[in-house]
Amino acid sequence: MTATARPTGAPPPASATATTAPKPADAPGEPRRVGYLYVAPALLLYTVFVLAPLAHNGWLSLFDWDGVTAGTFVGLDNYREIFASEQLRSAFLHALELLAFYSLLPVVLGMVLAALVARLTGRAATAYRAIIFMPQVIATVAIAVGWQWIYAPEGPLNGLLGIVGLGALQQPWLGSMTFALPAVGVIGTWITTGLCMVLFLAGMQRIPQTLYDAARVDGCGPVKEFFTVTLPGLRGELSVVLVITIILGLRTFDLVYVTTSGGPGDSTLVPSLAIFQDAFRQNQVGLACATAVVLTVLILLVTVIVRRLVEERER
Amino acid sequence: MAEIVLDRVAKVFDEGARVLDDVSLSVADGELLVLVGPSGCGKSTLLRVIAGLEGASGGRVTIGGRDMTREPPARRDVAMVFQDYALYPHMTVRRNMAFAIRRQRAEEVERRVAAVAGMLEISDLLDRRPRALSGGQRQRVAMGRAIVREPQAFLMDEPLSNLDAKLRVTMRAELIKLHRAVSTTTVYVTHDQVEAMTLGDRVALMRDGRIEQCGSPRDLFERPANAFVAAFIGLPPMNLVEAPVEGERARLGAAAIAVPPQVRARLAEPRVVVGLRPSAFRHAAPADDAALAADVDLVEDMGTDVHVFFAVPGLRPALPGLVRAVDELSGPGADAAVEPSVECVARLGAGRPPRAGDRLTLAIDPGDVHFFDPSTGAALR
Repeated sequence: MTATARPTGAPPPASATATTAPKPADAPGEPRRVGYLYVAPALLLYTVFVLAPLAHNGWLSLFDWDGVTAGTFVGLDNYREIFASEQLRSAFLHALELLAFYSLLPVVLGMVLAALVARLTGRAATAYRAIIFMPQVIATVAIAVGWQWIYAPEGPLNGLLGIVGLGALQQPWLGSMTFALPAVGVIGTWITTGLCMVLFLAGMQRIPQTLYDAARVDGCGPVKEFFTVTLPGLRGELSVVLVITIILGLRTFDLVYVTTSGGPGDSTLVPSLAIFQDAFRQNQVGLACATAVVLTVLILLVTVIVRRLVEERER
Repeated sequence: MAEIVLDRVAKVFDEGARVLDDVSLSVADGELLVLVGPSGCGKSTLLRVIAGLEGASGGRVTIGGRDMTREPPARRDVAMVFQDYALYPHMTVRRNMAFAIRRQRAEEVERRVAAVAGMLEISDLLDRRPRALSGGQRQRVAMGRAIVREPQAFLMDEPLSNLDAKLRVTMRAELIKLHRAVSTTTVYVTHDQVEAMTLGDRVALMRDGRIEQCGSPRDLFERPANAFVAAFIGLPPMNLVEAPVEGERARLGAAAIAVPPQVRARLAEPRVVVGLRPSAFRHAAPADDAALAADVDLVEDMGTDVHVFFAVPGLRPALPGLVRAVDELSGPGADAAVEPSVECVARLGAGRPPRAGDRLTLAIDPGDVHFFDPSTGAALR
């Protein structure tokens, strides 16, 4: 507190009047270099465990390398192979197909369930919420094993179909070229629907009741009310839910690995599984790395597009 | 434009709470009726029943001569203004205002929105979203959204409560002018008795799901039907003290007040509740015989006048149960103390304001005294 020591009546110090003088870097309100020190630990960890491996992966994708011996630089050949290979192309197509089950269906179901559960009160609401959210808490591998049993040729699903007289529909679900991918997708739906519902429920609780009152006075029926109040009110949640579930769907690995290992044939092969197989079974590390890069770019692209579409009118 | 008639409207919630108890009320075409009362009195519920947002458990709601009791809100052709404005956040001001008339022809919608926006001076805000507006601007948009519809009636649920005090006074004046301009039947809910007194053609004061009194603001102020109305209307509130009646006079400590014979005739026991407006007190002149010794507890200097709070020892607060609903009265005097005394408030001229601890001698204006039944609280006159 030097100011108090100054004799009263003395002219103010020159620095106070010279407003044009550049502010010192550590003046209040100015960004301070010391800030970098605060983020340094996190930044260091992020660099070591995320950025560096990412860059290294990109670098490896330019080599033909078996993972043991010296690799040879091949430029973009690995990328060309991805687009030329029937198998890898179909893996990406399967991933996009799975999006319908991982993302689209859960969003719709989640919203419907949220709208229904929101009308419940007391213990019933808590119970339903917990039950529907449960799959999020269980390890995916455990879920996969459980559903493998449900889908088994002699399993409960086929048993149920027999009981209700739909025996003609009985299938070896995970062994069918046609039904294996949707069957895996349904498991994904089962997992992510709870997450969607909980997020939508949280969003709905933030929508003021008077908006619904206003909509009703303004002549809205339940459907118009949903599109006028609920859906716009859930825009933020919708964006988050879509991004999360799309990422989950595109990079799905453990579920497919446990239930079908990509089979029968390549009918349930997905990019993550292809990366794993190329890198650790076929010793084509370069190709696996290139696939990983393509998958990353695809996820980035899709999420950016979704955020743009959903949040555009928000601004 | 339409008349609104409520005929013995009741509302019982599922948990068995009787929120509206056979309320009958009629609002004339073009009238502005204010529903006022303490929180929980059922005034908002009554408004929601008129709007159709709540179904009535009994009775009839008629709007413009048509029985609307079972009709959904959309069919009632009423516009509502909410306390939090309830503007659709993702729509611009223009779309918010046009939303309820979206089925009209586009040019007609455009014309009406433009006209109302001009009237409310919000034309330059039409392309903004509610989030980008101040509280006062949102309030105007909410009003505009209601006016654009040209409905049979406006229903307003504490529309000024979210504004700061100064803006509230401005908007109150604008509301009066606005109502004069469009003269649409309006039911206005508020808990603020100042709003009720200044806005309403008529005021209906509610308590516990019932209408205690309905009349012009002046009526409620000058001829309150009971002690509750007397205590609710007026600021600072009326002083209510229970006084023994000795002969022709009620004894208030050292002072005595003449009790008219027709009042005395209706008393079952020799005691009466005396209601004194703060303005009934003045500094006593030596000649005054009805003077009261007052020990000043607290002085609020309002500028043009001062509110003086003082205790009158030896008196009992009147009808504590009856007036407890009035928040302002739940002061220290309301609970039984060891030595009974009543906290009173007087409004005195600003000249030489007293200080806490002073002893004043106050005279009571005998023309400004109200009497109430000590057991029922009903006005005696």
